[in-house]
Amino acid sequence: MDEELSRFRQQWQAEVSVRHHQAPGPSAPQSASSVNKQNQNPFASRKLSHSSSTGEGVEDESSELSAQRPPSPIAHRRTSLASSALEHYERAVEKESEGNLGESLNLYREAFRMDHKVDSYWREKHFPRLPPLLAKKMTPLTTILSSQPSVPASAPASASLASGSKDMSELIASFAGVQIQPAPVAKLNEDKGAVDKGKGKEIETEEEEAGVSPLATLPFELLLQVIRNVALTDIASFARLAQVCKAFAYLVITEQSIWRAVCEKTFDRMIWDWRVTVKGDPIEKPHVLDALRDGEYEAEDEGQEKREIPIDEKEVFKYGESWRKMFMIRPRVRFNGIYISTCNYVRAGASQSWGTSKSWNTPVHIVTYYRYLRFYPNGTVLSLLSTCEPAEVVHGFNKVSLTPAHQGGLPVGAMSWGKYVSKGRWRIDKDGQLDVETEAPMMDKYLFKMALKVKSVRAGGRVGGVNKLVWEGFWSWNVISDDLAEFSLKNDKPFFFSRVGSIEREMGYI
Amino acid sequence: MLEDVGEVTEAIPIPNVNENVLKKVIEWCEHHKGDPPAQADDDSDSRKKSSDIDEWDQKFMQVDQEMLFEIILAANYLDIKPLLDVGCKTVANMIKGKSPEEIRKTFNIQNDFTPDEEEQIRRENEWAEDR
Repeated sequence: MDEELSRFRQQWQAEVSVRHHQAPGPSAPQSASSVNKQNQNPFASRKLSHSSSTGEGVEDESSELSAQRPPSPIAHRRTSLASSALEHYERAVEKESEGNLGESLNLYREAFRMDHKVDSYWREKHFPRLPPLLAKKMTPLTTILSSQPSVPASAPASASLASGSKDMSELIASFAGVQIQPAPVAKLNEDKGAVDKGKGKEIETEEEEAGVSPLATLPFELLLQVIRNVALTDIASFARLAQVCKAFAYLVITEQSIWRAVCEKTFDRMIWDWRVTVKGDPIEKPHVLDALRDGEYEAEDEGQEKREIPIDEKEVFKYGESWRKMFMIRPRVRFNGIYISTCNYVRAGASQSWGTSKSWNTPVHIVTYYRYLRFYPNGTVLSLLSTCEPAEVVHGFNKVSLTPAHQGGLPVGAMSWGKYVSKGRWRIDKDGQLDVETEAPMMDKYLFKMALKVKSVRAGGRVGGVNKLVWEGFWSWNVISDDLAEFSLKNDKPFFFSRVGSIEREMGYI
Repeated sequence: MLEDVGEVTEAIPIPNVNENVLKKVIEWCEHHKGDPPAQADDDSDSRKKSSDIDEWDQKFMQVDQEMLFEIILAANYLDIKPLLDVGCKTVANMIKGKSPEEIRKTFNIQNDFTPDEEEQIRRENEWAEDR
């Protein structure tokens, strides 16, 4: 039995490695339902290196054997890091959360093959019984929640996908509304009685108790200047300041002048109308010059209401007169990271005959691919569709390290995905409609048009954060024949924003 | 005005500024006396990055915290905006990238939250971590 198994494994392994080198043929992530017959699928040339088959599942039949023997060589080859069933399981969970179902499935399978109880071990390790702390916390919070008379309209009704944090995120949504009201510190100091002296004094009294704090000696205007500086350069640090002490919490959450400055700086960097060509050359008069490539599309927009709204008192009224809230939920494009859309699709593979055993299974390929978008404040954008995982891509995803796709060249040491990166441009309107137009990699006569909408994500206890782009349409445009062909978005998922440290450094954050 | 202060120190009483601090302030003024007049003195836009403190100023501000804050106060008192600006940026840079606990330690601030309050505030500001 053992012999037979190992023989089988060898065969299988050989099969896999052959297949790996060939890289499965053309299979399009989206099927272009094209009007344009000769329309070549833009993604046809992509390698789908993440495909995998369910073939190895067969080995489950001998689970009592496999439980005793060391991990199979195949498993070693694929996941050299993971040695125990639990580790496999953990890596599977990790892959799953990245959206890479193919890898994830393989790892789960591996884990269960090694130990069929692995899921309960995992649960014990990561979600040990009796989370009394959590349970304890939930109660008062819910009470507070129900005692809040006015839950802001924006409070998420079905807030959370994530485990059990639903109450929490609802609470925060309502809590946010309360805190922003001008009433000083009342909410924060609930338990200890309100400290309702002037802002400046409040800090001093508090600091005095703690001995000497240099920040406490600063006059209020100077303290403001310091934290305004923090806010304008690193909003995360500014928000974190709120956790330092009550005085800062109050300041950070309520200081309108700072949030206003942040809003002005942030929304001032939005591109309301095309400012560059798809190739990135500046446009003087958008509407006129655009006719070169985008005549019709542009014409539709003319005469419509303004795309832009000034950042002023009238605008902030929409956000309950809170500049902070405006910053949190008003649609905008973010520059200090990358938007990633993780897509999976399943495709039936040709059934293959392995030696004598013909119809053991029907292979299914689970293909994971990613779309990457990076926006620049000058109106340009970089776009990439690739099976390469985010860890491989994000740090090199910039203009400097890439030779543009249309020049066909690659700089020395370029990444494998480098040549598929295409240039483009973006614009947004006041409602968060985001238009992206990019070149088609390797195909000069096409342009891609994406219609996206900026949304905020409220899940897992998070409030606000405009970090999601949902699809509203996707077209390829043959520039020569002027045909517009719409792609099906069946497999495509929303983009989610991720901060990237190297980009923040490049852009001068922090 | 900077020149004035530098030249006639003894004549004008400056009760809020001690000698060591004043020496530092004058040193700074001497170094920057050739600077073109500040173009955009008023806040925000012109100084988006706070990391853009020039090298000399960065070295100049490498003093103990007490001195740093003394310089800021003196610059404020003497109305030397560019120096005040550099000082505030320096403090801002000390805040950025730190955890709340590190900030408390750095500036000797007492944590006056109850654990529950702290947790609530943390969650309230969680969204910003992803900015």
